[in-house]
Amino acid sequence: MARAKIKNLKSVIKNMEKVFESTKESKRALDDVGEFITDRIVKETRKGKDLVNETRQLPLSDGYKKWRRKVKSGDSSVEPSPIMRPNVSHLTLTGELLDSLKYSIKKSKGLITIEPTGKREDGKSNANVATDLANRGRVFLGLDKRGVKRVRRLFLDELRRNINKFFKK
Amino acid sequence: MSFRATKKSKDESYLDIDLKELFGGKVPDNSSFRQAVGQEILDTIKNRTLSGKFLAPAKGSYSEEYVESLEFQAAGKSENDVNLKQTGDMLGFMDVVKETGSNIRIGWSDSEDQAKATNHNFGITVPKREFMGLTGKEIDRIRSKFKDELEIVQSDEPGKTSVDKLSSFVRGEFGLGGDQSSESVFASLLSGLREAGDGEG
Repeated sequence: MARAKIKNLKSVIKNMEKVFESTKESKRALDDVGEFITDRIVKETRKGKDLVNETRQLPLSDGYKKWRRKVKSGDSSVEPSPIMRPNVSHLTLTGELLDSLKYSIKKSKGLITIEPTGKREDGKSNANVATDLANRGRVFLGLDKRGVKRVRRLFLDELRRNINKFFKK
Repeated sequence: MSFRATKKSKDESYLDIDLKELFGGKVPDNSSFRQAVGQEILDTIKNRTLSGKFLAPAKGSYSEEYVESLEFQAAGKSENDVNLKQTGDMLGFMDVVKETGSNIRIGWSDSEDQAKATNHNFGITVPKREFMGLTGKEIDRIRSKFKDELEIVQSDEPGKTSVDKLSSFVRGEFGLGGDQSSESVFASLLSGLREAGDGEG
């Protein structure tokens, strides 16, 4: 029976896997993704969007808007964020919650985590504030469809950059 | 030498690059080379635009109305830092939309992003800020980056470029015959990745 021997296949396949693995685990790509997601959540939420449900944030009550107008005019001990808009529901009063979002990477697990960190001026933790908001239907820790596509593009771009590099000997 | 975008309509424009013209001679005829060069062009355009530089003199500040808007302030932008980035989606979705032979086309598959880019590049309803193209210096840099591939092809010694080695591997891995194009398989791999990005939510 005729047989065909393929030499060196293991090392060739290993090289190919290296391209995909190095792309998937590229610190640059993972950092780009972590930074992108964090940035998108902060900026889009500040515009009043709910990325998770791809809609606007739940509206504010009239009473709460009135209080926010007081805060904005300086008639309160609360220091408002410069971009706080009294009549806009955008999870921004002092700005501490969204400013506290940080990402961390666990390369071995292929995991990027974005979460609120630290304690606020009023002593509460930002994580607790986020949980409290979520329990009241005001969610923000997630990504919209376009954001997910952007993440995939970040990896595709990195794969393309790697094409030319790895087989050069 | 420079390359500039072509306007097809008020909503549609592309940047077509003839790679033979870009590199001044023969170029490898394979998808992996075109994809790699395409990515280099995308990175060049994005990095230049995000640093606030354009292909021609452009208005260096935003309108007062836009500066005072929540969208502008939530994006953390500054008044005189014009870089066509708010969400980053327009530049982020710029892509190699077509590549064949010695030609590649830079553009957008989403019509909304394409219309926005055309508007900015040609100044349809907003101040003109031309970003789709390549300057002479950028072309020189790209030529230098792909020097190895080009030296081999332009010296008539096929089969030894890094992308040829990759293509040979792909041919072997997928059991393709010598007369079948392994580049189309590699192109399919990259297309698959792109489609996976466009398809699911």
